[in-house]
Amino acid sequence: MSDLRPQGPGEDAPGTIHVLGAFLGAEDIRRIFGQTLVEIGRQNPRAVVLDCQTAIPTMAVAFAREFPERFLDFGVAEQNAVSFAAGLARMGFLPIVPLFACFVVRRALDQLATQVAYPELGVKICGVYAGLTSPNTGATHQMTQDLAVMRSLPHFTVVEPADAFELTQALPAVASLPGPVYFRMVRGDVGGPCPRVCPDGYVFRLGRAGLLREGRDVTLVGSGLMVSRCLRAAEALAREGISADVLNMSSVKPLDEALLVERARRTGAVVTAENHSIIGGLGSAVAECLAEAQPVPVRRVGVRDQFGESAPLEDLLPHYGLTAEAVVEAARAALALKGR
Amino acid sequence: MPECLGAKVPIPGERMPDPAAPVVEFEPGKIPVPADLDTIRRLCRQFRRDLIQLTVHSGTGSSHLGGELSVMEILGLLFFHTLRLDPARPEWPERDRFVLSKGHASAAMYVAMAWRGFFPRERLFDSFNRLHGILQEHVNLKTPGAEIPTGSLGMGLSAGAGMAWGARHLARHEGARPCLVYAVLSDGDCTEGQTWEAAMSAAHFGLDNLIAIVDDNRRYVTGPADRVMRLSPLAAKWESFGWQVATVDGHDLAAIRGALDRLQRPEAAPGRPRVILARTLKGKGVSFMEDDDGWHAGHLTAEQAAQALKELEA
Repeated sequence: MSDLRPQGPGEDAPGTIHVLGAFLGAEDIRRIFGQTLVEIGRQNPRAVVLDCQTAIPTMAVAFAREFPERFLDFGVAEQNAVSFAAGLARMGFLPIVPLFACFVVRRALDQLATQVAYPELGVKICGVYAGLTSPNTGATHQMTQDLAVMRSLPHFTVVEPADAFELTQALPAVASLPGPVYFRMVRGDVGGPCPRVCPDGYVFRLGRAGLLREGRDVTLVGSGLMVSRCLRAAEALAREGISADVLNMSSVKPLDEALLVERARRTGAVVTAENHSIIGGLGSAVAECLAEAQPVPVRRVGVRDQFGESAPLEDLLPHYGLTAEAVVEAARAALALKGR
Repeated sequence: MPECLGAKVPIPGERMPDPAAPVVEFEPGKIPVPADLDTIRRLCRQFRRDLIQLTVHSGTGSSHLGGELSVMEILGLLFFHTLRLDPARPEWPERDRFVLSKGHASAAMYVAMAWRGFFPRERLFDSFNRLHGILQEHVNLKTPGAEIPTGSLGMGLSAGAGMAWGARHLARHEGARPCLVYAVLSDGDCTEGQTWEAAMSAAHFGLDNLIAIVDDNRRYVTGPADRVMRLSPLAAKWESFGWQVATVDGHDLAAIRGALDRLQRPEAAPGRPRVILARTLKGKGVSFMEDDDGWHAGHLTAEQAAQALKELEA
């Protein structure tokens, strides 16, 4: 087993990477989300936030305090909220719908397809508590199929920021798009699973991945909370003499196919890592692209066709393989395939 | 006439109905609005004839005739008496909004829109259910004047409520001219949970600029509502959700017009959304379709089409 203790000063406390305390002190991404919503509301007097009793955990409540006349609470009625948002978009508003990812995608899928994607309306869906990051609520509230569903809907843009810094750029950027958007976010208070990974000067651009680390042997492609795990995996691999790229693929759709193909051509092996099922999500998007454009070995790290359960996040992430160790293992496996 | 509207799709080997031969003396797109009730009555007979022809010439040979025939007077009044529209500017910001929540009855709306002047009447007979045609079996934005896609039931009232909230917000905060939002639902729509989510929220938000009309033809696909899934007492349900309710005969033009005229005035029920429950007959106007379960969606034989057209001459 590699030494996976954090090497850089300050970012993480000592200990193995999946210890909850490792990330304490990181900014809660939800607080930044709420602040960014308020900023969008200041910039655009037609920005309206639609909620279904999740504004406190998503921290969209910050918008409600600032702009009560533009905050609509529907009780627990996601289907109504999504169709209502479509009506608002048709009237020239910027409707932002931050709900738990599980409920908005699973429960209101027909509305998302029929009245948002099909007419290409500028409704901004924010799927919060995505992946396993609703640890205490279990399979009913955890959402590991949303990328698979949402990127298959025509006209939808799908983005998942890697940290709060990227969010402050990515959310306003996608809010200004004319069409439908699915903006994926984790819950940030349980162990702060999204430590800062984007360097100063990083600029979010839709359809462009961030090359956070450049290597020669293998390309690690992560999204959301798995980007920080990929970075630590790259450090561990470096100590084994393996040089790894790390790509922050926050733009899941459109995917940065050009950079992905260029890096795959250079390294000849790819690992994907996502807080999502390995079926249909980032790993699938990357594999689909490379199979057609630059076939190289691809190993996918993610939830393997299972439902989650309610348990502490520091137990869930290793149980479902969402760790830097899992990325390291997958990199070794991809390299072994490359050698064949 | 707005530009575009989709190239005419050639139909090899098919004979077009002669659009120059309607049984009414009016010219599509040139009917003064608001029209009087006698004009609308005669138009509705012509609309039903066009529905039969549209179905015959549909790319798939089908439409949802039963619910199209039942809603015809409601749509005739809305498009030729009530709605403030400009067919030359389908996206005119001050227009009233119209949502056909029973999106499967799109052809009834298309017929009314064609005669109102949103697109040439010929499109009814060369563009319905055809590749690259502008008229889909379920409403979408390819059709000029359409506000929101529908067809999966239960969604129209929610979208209409969003439009009504938006219109009120724009009037209050940006000085926009207030507009009204009309949503036509089916009785089947009322079996969808989302319709009641929308009803609850529209009342809670006090959307008195929202007027729903239920085409209550009392029949679903498989049979009478009372046997399949009972809605009764429907008026009490809407009232209990905080709506102002009017019940009318949905084929009595004077009664529908009276309810529309009354309920569109703010003082009729300040702060409350309105609903008109229009009792109708599925398949209205064609004897062998009336109240017959076989005509929710269907194909017409040449003989059936001829008989229907003959009945609609009178």
